[in-house]
Amino acid sequence: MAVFVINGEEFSVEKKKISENEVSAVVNGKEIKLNIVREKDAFFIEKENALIPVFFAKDDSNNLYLHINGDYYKLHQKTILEQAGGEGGEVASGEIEPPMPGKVLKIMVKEGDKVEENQVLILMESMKLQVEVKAPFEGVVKDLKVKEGDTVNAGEVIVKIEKSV
Amino acid sequence: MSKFKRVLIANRGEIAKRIYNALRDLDITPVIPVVEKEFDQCYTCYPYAVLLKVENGVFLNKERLIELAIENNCQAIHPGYGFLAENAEFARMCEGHGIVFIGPPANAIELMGHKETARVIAQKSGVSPVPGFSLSGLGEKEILERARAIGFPVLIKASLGGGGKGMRRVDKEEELFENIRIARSESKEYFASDEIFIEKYIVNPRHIEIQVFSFPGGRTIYLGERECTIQRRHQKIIEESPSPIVDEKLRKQMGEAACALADTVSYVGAGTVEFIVDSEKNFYFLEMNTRIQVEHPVTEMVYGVDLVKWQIQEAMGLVVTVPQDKIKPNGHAIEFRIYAEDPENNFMPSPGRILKYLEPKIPGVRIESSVRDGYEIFPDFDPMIAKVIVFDSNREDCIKKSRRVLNELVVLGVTTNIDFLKSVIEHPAFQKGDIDTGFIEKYKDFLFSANSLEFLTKEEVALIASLLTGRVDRKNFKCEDEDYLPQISTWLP
Repeated sequence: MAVFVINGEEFSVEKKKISENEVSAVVNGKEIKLNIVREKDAFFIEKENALIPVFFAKDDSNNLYLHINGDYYKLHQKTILEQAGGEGGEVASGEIEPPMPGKVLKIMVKEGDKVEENQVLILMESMKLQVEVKAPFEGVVKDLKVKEGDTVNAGEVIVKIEKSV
Repeated sequence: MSKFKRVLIANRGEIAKRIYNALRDLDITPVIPVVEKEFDQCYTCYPYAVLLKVENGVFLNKERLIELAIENNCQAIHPGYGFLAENAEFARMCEGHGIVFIGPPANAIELMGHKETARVIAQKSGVSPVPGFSLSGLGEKEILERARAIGFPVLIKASLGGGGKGMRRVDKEEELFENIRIARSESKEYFASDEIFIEKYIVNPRHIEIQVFSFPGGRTIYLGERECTIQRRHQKIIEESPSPIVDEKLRKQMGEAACALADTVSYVGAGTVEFIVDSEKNFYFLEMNTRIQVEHPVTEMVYGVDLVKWQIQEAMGLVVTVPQDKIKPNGHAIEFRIYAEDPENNFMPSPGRILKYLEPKIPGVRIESSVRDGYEIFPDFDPMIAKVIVFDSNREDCIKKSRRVLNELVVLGVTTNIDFLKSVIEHPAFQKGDIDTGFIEKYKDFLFSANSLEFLTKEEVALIASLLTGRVDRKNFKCEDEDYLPQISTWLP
């Protein structure tokens, strides 16, 4: 799951599905669908039968800048650290994506382990920086999808924490 | 005089690029000093030119610039605007070293550079300045009497001022002397002189300027007007030609007044005479800018001329005199100054790295800029990103086209005034041409209201973002011209 902040408002994107020309996901609990077109290096969304180019750029602080049809957006993608440690940043689903693409250095837990809030689950290396992936809340480790030495992409769920009831 | 082989450009940013283009057109090699911290982002910007890596502060260092010109076999220096463009001493120093200063004679710069002297010269040439008087040598009683005679509100200005610094509006008599004291100390701080003067404050004024060009042998022509009324912090952000209120008769009156003034100081080359125009279309002389102006392209578009090329040709003694009756306006042009600044925060500069910059390729649109992907806007330089000049057959179509152009221009990574400029052109008063220099203040509620009808919902934007945050190649700052398409070679859903 990815969490974006737009003008102070949080949007969580879950259950992303991508087919040839359609992408869908659940954003803040709402099912959102968009038609997209990719051609070579260009990326468009299709709206009212017109193709609208999407221009984007990313900086070193996980901010994404978009220009779509004359509108500008600045989005901040919350890192796992921010998702875990941020006040009110409790992540409902427990699906954890790496904050940045990188390499898995060390896995500190195994499936079925009980973990505390903020307990370090995975140690990653990204841009020569070590990043700790922490548990957003107390729970049980499920779906550990990576092993040490793996390279992972941002946006890929690497582990899930199921909330203790 | 003979043809220049090399010319030093004593400037940076978009105007350096503009002069570079004019020199290249004339088959002259541009020699461009680039300061160290800008060197990496500039060195492929200027193919076929000689680039010099120089220390910071070079553009204000007269001796150093002349040294660079001599070392690099330059026959002339083009100062652009700002920096040393209106520095008479620099013009004289160039001359003393046998280097041509591409601009008017030092004497004309000096006379027009002093606001009070310029007013006196204007009066002598039959161009009335805004009623006012200099404070030097006057006692309090006399100052008050004269201020009363002009009528409140009045404006206090620094004699050597510019850019709105040291300028104060006074509405009531009681507040006069306190404001004079503050203006004096501000003037001393900014311009190292406490000389100030008082003039009539024109209510709802428009700022309209006349472009002149003086050919050798004392023949000055005018190339119409530029309406520069839309200003923030006393600096222009939108300029257009022709002005929506200037008709052929007024153009002739203002143009001839400007030419008379230029001739009085034996002007040479490109210059601009600025006027304040009141609601009854009375015009008053404000000042003369003895250099190429930022907004010169709107005149070039409407009159089909190349002023920078003319400047260089004139300096070489090769310019061909154009008669006044050959100068006719055609169509309408609007210039938008794109700045890295935050309109919501009193238009304060918002420097930073421009991660993506794409100019739309639209016929009739001219963009002056030295920016490309990865270009950093430094806090210690002017935060201008680009000048976007839109041309069409009439004002209405030009505004419509501007909407499209501003929508399709892409500047990502820094806060810009693009959205603000878009709301200015949507305002009915702007569309009717019913504007004055207080436009932004007057209509701020409209201009600063958030764009309510966005094309996408925030949820849709978040979904799009989730497709893009995986593997964006952020180091991919390209310098060559890119196609007007998003670059997502590394995009992996």
